[in-house]
Amino acid sequence: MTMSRITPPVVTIPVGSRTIDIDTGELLFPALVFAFCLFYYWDTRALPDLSMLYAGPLLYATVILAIITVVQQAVSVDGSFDRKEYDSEAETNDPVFTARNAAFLVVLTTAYVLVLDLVGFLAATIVFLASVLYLFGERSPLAIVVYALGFALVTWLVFVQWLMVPL
Amino acid sequence: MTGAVFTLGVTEALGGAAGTLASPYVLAAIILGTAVGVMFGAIPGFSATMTIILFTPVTIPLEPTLALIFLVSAYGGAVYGGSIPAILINTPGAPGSVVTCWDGYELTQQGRAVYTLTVSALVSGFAGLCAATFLLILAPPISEFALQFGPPEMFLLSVFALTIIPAAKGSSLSKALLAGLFGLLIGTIGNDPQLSQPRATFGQTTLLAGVDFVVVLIGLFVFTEMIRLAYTGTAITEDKQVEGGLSEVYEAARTVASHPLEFARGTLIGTFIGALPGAGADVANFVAYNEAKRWASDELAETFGTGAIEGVIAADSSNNATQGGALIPTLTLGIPGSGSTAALLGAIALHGLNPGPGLFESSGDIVYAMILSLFLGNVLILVYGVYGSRYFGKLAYIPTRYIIPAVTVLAIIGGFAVRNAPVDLYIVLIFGLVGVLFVKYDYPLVSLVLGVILGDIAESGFITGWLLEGESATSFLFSSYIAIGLLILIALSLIVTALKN
Repeated sequence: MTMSRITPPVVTIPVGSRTIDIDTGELLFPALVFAFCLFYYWDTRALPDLSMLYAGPLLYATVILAIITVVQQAVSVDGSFDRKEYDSEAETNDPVFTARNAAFLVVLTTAYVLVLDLVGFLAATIVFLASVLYLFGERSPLAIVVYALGFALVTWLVFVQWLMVPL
Repeated sequence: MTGAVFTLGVTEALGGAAGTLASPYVLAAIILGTAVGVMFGAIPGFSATMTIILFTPVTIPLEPTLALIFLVSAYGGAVYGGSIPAILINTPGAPGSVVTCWDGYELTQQGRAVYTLTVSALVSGFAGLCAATFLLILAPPISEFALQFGPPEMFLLSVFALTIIPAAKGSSLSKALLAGLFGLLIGTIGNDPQLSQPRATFGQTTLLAGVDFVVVLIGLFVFTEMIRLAYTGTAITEDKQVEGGLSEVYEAARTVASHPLEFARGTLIGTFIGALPGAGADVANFVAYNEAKRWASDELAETFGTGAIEGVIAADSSNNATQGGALIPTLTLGIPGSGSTAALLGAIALHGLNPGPGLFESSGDIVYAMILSLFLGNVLILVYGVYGSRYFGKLAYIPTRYIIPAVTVLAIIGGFAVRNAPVDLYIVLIFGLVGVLFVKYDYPLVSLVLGVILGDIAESGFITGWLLEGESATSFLFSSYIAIGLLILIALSLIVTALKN
């Protein structure tokens, strides 16, 4: 029950007689936006004004809104923090559907995208399908082989052969 | 005079569209599309949005009319299909059917599955027909009106679309706007429209043409959903025997006929919420259920959640009505009313049509054929639903472990097929992860997608308008009565959300 949930912690910082609580999870998206804005600023700093006539003000508005979001959502003074509960999904003790396996799915998909070009669509897809199916609990070798070969072949025929998607 | 010419044009276009619909290929596209939609909608983890996204690449070789009619039929089918597992096994097949579970599954527990499934099919089909009628009546004058929108109005319309989302979805104002602005900023990646200088392209040639919103949509709505599914799984309860004869079907028909008010309220709420940018079936079913409960007598209100058929009527009339509603802004303004219509917008653009004001003029025959196909599609929902829902329900038992790998592969293929660019696959991955943050911290996914979709419209509207109006903020903002009207709407939506927050 506890294993399968990941929630970034709330950090409490004492400032004089007061304390400041920061919900680090709520910082994640604003931080991402902020990092992208920095990159955007750095990348476009030498461009003529006309190129940035719209994008420039938009960039500043985005940064300001990121700061407002952090102040409103992630920071609270003197422990008045009512931590919002977003995980409304029913929690299960399922050994298969866990944060760890969800992370594995992301890793496997990234690997699949990386090797797609190197080893070709059919080989990469067969291995990807088989490993993800195994990851989520299928143990019958026959089912894994039939599923991986069958689905890879069908998608290869439809997309690569028929629709000529140059995968 | 213009009115008369306009009406004549509409009649001619409708005649042409009706002719198109008589073609056996088009009929086959509707029959097949609706069936595919119901099937995929019935599988937990497949929403209408995903069904459209994943089937769009397959429609590439088809001619535009056929392809778009197939997709629009699948869309309607999928919204309905989501209610079948909601009623049978307490697992919504799509987010638009979450509320259907509350009373629908209770009724199944009481042995009334056939009755409930039939009521659901009847209200879904009829609500879809009513919403399609609204679309047919309202879309042509709105599109005619939209032709008067100049650059400043298009910019303000984009801003309005982003500010109305938190009001419609009840999410945090700052989070929704941050997501929307981030989307707009992503939309500026690539060559600027004035001087063609590259902005934030990470050195990728493909990105000089910008980030394609369909790729972002696949990341946020398909890959994110697979990660979420991998994290939560779906809890399927034991197999329910569905039994019941014709008498249950007749009783269902009598129930629907004796609740015209409840049906009309759900349908109107669904059409209206569908037409708001960004809010679709997922919002409509909650609002309709709450309203149904609020208007009910105290005695009846207490039975909600314990198997009140009124709850099913509210949920399923509203979620199916969103389709017709959501197509209104999509077809007339180029602003999608929901995630599903955003996906459809991608398909419309892929098939060479130019969504936005002017679509009815440039491609009226295809658009009217699409709208008319909704009527046939919703009749088919009635047929499939009344006769086949218990069989479609079996699809909900497909184990999640078989869904995740296949859909992930289809997402990767779909992301690549948009413009055959490897960099788009990384964009799918990145936005899949961003989507996880969005789901966990309650940012509206659709704000980000809409930002990316509106990026070009907002930028060209702003720059052209700004230069045209002599670089003066007052003449830009108050350039016309339409602009002032939009400013008032923006202010209203901000005030409503601030009050709700």
